[in-house]
Amino acid sequence: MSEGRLCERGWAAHDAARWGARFHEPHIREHGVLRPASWDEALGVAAKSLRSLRDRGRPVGVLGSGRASNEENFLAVALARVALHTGNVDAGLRRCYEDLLAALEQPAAAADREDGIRRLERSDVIVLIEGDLTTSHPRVAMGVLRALRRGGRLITAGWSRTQMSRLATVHLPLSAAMPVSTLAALQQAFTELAARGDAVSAGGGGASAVERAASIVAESRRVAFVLTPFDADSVVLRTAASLIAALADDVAAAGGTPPLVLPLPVRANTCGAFDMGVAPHLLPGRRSLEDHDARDRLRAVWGTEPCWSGGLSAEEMIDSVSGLVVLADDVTEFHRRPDRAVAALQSLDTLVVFDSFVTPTTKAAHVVLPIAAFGETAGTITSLEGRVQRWRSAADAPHSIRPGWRALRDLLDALGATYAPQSLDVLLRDIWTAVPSYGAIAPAALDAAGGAVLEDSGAPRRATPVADAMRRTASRRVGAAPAEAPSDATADAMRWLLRGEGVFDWGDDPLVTSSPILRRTPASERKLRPTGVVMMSTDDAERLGVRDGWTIRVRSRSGEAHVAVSLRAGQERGVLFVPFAYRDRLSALSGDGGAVEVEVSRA
Amino acid sequence: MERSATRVIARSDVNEWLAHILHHRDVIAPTRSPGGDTMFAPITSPDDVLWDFENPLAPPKQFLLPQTEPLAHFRRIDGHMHVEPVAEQRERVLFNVRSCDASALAFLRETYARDLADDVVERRAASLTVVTLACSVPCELGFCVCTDAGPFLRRDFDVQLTDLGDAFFVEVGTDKGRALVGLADALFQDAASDDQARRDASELAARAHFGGETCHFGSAMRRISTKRVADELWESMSAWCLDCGGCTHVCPTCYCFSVSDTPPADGCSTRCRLWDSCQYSAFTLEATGHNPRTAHGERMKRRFHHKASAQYFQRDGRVGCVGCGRCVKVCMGTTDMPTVIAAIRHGTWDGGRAHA
Repeated sequence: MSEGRLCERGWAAHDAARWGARFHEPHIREHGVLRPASWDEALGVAAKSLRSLRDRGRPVGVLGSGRASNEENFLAVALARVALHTGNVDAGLRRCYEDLLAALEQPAAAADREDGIRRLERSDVIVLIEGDLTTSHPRVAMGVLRALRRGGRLITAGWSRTQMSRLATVHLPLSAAMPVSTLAALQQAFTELAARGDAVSAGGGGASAVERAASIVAESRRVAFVLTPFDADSVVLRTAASLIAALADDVAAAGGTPPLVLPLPVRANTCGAFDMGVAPHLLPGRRSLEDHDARDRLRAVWGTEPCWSGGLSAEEMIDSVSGLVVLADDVTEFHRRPDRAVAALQSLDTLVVFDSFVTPTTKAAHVVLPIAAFGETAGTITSLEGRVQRWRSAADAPHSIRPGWRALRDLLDALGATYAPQSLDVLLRDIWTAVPSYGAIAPAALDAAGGAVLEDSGAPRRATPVADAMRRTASRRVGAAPAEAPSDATADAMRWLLRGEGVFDWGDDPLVTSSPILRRTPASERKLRPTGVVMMSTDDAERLGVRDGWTIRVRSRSGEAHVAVSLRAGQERGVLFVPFAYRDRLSALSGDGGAVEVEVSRA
Repeated sequence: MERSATRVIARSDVNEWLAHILHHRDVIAPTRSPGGDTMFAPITSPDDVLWDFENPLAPPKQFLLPQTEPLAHFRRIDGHMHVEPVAEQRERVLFNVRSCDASALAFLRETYARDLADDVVERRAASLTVVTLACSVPCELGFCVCTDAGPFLRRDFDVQLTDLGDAFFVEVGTDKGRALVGLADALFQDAASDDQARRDASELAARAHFGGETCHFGSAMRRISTKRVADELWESMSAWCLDCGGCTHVCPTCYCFSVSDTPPADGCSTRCRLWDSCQYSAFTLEATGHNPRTAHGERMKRRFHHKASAQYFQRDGRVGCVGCGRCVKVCMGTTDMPTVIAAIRHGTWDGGRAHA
C-alpha cells in the first residue's frame, strides 16, 4: 500500500500502544463505576446482558470499524447476524464512503484491472474533489505529486485553497450554498466541448475556470477523478459522485482511455470492513441480502441459519437500540453531535466495547474488553484499491489484553454461538470461503511485498446496483443548476452562511491523541481556542476588521456564540466554515448540520 | 608485539569470529525480519547476518539514540520527588554497518559531546563498537561520495571490512576495534601488500561507480550562506512536501528530539526522550501557543540550512548529510536531499521533474 512510505500518523503508530491511555484488564460497570474484572466475569456479564435483550426482543446492534482488521470485522458481523440474530451491523464513516461508491459503477472502466494508485500516478490530468487531501489521504496525495512530476496536470475543486490547489493548473471553488453546482457546470462544459470538438479554443483567453478545466480534461488522454468524502451531507456526496461518474462516462464516450475514478474511504480498513459485511444492507463480499449463493456460503461457514434481514445504520443504532457492541471505535469521533452521542450511549441498557484505548465510548461502557493495539496483533486489511495485506504482531500486548479476534471469538463462545473459530488461521480460511474474491487469493500471495490485489476489486467496480439510476437522476437534477453559486455576501449586506466542514478530524485519531509528538498541535489548538473556531476568508476578515485568532459574535435563529476566527485565503466570501473538530461547540447555531444564515459582528 | 592495523580474515572464518563476539557481546547486524525486510536487529547466530544486502531503511541510529529513550524514573515519596536515572550499560557491537551510517554515528557522537555533553549518549557510544562493511558496490540511491562519508572510510570506524571475495580485508581503527579482533586473534593474518592492493582497487572501482556527477553540496552551501536562496523558493518547494517527517525519521544524522513523561503507573513516571521532526509544525510550538515557524516553507528552510549551511559545517566539521539516499527512497513528495540541493544551486524549482 505505502511501499515503505509512511504518513505522519504511520511514523507514530507504534507510539499509541506505549503512550495511549489503556485498560489493562476487562472492566465492568458496578454501581455506576467501572471496576476491573477477569475475562470470564466480563464476558459472562456481557453475554448475559446481550442475550437477555435479544431474548426479550429488544433491539441490539454491532458497530464494526474501519480501524479493525478484516478478521475482527468478520467476527463482528457474525456476532450480529449469528449470535444476536440482527441485521443491525454497521461502522462509523462507512456511509460517506458508500455515498461516493453508490454512484460510481463504471461500465467504462470495468475492463481495467490495474492498480488504482499506479494508474493515478500515470495520469495526464487529475480532477480532485477534496477537503484537504494531504491531511486526509497522504498516500493518494503522493500519487498526485508523482503524476505532476511526470508532467501531469491537476484540477482541484474544494472549499478553500489547499496545498494541492497550490499545485493545480485550475482551481474550482465549491459554493457553500450549492456545493455541486461547480461540478455540474464542469460536466456541462465538457459535454458542450465534446459536441463542438474545439477543446483548445475553450482553453484560450477569456475562458472561465470551469471552461479551462473542461478543456484540459478534453485534451488529455489519461484522466483520473479522485473523490474524497469532502462533505458530511449524504445527498451532496452522492450527487457529486453521480456527476463525476457521468463526466467519466462522457470522457470515455469522447474516445479517450476510460478514466480512473477513485473514491476514497476515510479509514485504513473501511474497504475491508465493507467486504466483511459491515453494512446493514449487505452480506460479506458486498453481496445483497437476497443473494442465494452468498447465503449458502455463510450457512456453511457459520453452521447455522443467521439473520438475513437488513438493519439500522450506525447513527440510527446509537439513537435507538437498547444494547450495543462497539469494536475499536469511538462514536464521538464520527457522530455529528458528540454530546448527544455520549448521552445516547449512557442511556443504553447494555454497552459492550472492545477497544485498545480509553475513549469517551469506553468510559460510557458497561463492559470494556481491552484488545491489542496496532503492532500487537496480526491480521489482514484491505486498502482502497482492493489490496489485501497482512499486518503482523511486533510486540506482545501487555497484561491480560487479548487480540481483538480472540476477544470477539470469546464473546461469541460465551453467547453460545454456533460459530467461534479456534484460531486466526481457521478464521482466515473461513473468510476465504465466505468471500469469493478473497478466496481467489493464493494464501502465499498475502505474504508478498504489498500483499495481493483482489481480482474482482477496484472499489468503484463493486458498486451497488443503484448506480445508474442515481447517476441519471442526479445529472438531470443538478445539471440545470447555475454554473456558479452567487455569493450574496457584500460589504453592505453582510449576510453570512455558517456551514460544517469535513467528516472527521485528524486530531481525534487515537494514533494522534496517543502520540506525545503528534497530539501537540490539536491539543494546543483546542486549549487556545476553547470556544471553538470558524474559518473565514481573508477578504471577509479585512472587511470586518478582524485578525487571525480574534473573537467574533455569531448569531443565528437558534442561538448566539462567541468564537475565534481562523483566516484562510481563497475561501468563499461570506461563508464561515465550522471545522469538524469544533462542530459540537457551534451546534447551538447550526443545528444538525447543513448551512444556516447567520449574522456576524466583531465581539 | 603490536599487531598491524591491517589484517585479513578468510571468509570461511568470519562466522567463527562472530561466534566469539556473540559469546562476549550483544551483536546487532543487518538481518532478515519475519516479514522479509532487511533491518538492523540483535542476532543470536552468525548465520543471521546478511553480507549482500540493501542498506536497511531504518538506520542503526536507534542503537545510539533510541526512538523512545527512558532517561529517568521519578516518584513522590513522603512529599519529596525521588529521581532515579535509567542506567543502560551494555557492550554492543554494530556489525556490517555501511560507511554512511558509521559516519552518521560519529556525527551524532560528536554532536552530543559538544557544549554541554550528554552523558547518556556518551556512555552508550563508549560501549558501542562499530564494524563497517565497505561499499564495494555502492547502493543505487546513495551519494556518499559527495559528503565524504563513503563508499570507503578513512575514519569513524572501529573495524572496517572490505570484501575481497575469498577473504575480508580488515582495518582496525581504534582500540575497541583491536579488542574485537583480539577476541579471535588466531583467525586473522597480517595483510600482505597484495591484499592492500586489492582493497585499494575495490575502493577505486566503487568511487568510479558514481561517475562525475555529485550533489555539489559546496555550491549549495555557498548560496545558502550568502543568502542567495529566495524565500519564494522554499515556499514553492514546500508545496511538494507532504509533511510526513519520513526524511527525518530515516535520516541517520537527524537528532531533533522532544521530551515527554509517561503517565504515572503505581506512582512512578518515566521521563523519555523521543525522536521528533523539525518538519512537524508543533516542533517549534511554544507553551504560549505561539509558533515561530508555522509556514511549511520556513520549516523546510530550517532543515536544509541545518544540513547544508557553512555555519553548521564550520561548527560540526562535516556536512549534516552522509549521502545514504534514504530520504530519496522514503519521501512521499519530491523534496529529498539531492533534489533540494539541486534546486538551491539552480535557484529554481521544477517539482523534482529533472530527477523523476
